[in-house]
Amino acid sequence: MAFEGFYPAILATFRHIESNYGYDTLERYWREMAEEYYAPVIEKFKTGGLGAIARHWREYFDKEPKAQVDVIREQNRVIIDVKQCPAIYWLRHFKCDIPDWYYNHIPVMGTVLAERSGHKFEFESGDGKYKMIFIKE
Amino acid sequence: MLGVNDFIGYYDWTFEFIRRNFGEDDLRKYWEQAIAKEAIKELYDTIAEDEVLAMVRHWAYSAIGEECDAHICFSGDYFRYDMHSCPSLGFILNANRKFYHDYCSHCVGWIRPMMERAGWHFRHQHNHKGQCWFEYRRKGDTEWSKPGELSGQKDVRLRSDWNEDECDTSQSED
Repeated sequence: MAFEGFYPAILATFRHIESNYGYDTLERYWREMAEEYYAPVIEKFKTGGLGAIARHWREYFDKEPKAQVDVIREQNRVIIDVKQCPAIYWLRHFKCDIPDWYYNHIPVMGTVLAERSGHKFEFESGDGKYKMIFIKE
Repeated sequence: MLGVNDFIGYYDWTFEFIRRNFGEDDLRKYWEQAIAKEAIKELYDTIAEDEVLAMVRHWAYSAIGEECDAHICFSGDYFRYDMHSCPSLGFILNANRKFYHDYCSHCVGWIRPMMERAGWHFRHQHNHKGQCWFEYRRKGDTEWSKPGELSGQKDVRLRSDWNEDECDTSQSED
C-alpha cells in the first residue's frame, strides 16, 4: 500500500511538530522514530551488515512510487543514490510548500540507523536527489 | 528516506509519540490541524461548497490508492462508506506492532472537525478488526440508515462477523 497521497501527511506531520513544539522537538521525533519504530531495521543492519543494508534499501525504494534509485555495494560501504526522490516528486506534484529543513530527517535518522548498527553515515543532497552512504567501521 | 510504503506503521507510532509527550488533547489537535487542514486540504477546503461531490472525489481516490475493500454509496443528501477490510489497520495487525491504543480513532479525529465545520453530521462505528462504516448527512437530518437500507448487502453491519458489542461508536454533536 504505497499510496502517494501519504506524502503530504508526512510533511504536514513534520510541520505540525515544528510549528507547535519547535525544531528541536522535530529532530527528537525523527531520532526516536529511528530508535523505536525502526528498531527491527537496526537489528537487521547489525546482524546482516552491508549486505542487509543494501537489500533493505533496494526493497524499500522498489515499493516507492516514482523512485529512481541505484543501490551500489562496495567493499566497505553501501551507496544509496536517489536520483529521483519520490517524496520531493510527489510533494511538488501536490504543490506543497517544502521547507528547507525537510531533508534534515535523512541525516538525523540515517545516523541513528548507522551508528546503532556499527556503521558510519554520510549524506549529500541537492534538488530532489540525494545519496546516503553507510560505511562499515 | 521516509517513504509511503511503511507510512501506516510510523503514522501509528507518531500518534503514540504525540500522546506520550503532549497528551490526548494535542493528538486531537494534530489530527485536526495537520491531517484535516493540511494533508487533506483539498477536501477540507471544498467540502462546504461541493458537498457530496467533494466526498466522492476524496474517498474514491483514497479507496483506490490505499487498495481498500470498501463500498461507497451516495445521493445529494448523504454519503455512506462501508469498509470491509481496512488496509491501514491490516498493516498494523499483520506487522503485530501496535503503538497507539486505538489506531482507528484517527479517522474520526480528522473527520469530526472537518464535517462539523462544513455543516454535516457524521455517524461512525468501528470494530477494531478492520471493518467500519461512516455515514454523513446534512445538519438537521439525523435519520441514520438501518442496516442494508443504503448499501444493500455491502453494509458491513450485515456481516456475520459484525458484533455491535465490540464496536466503538462516534457521532457529531446535534
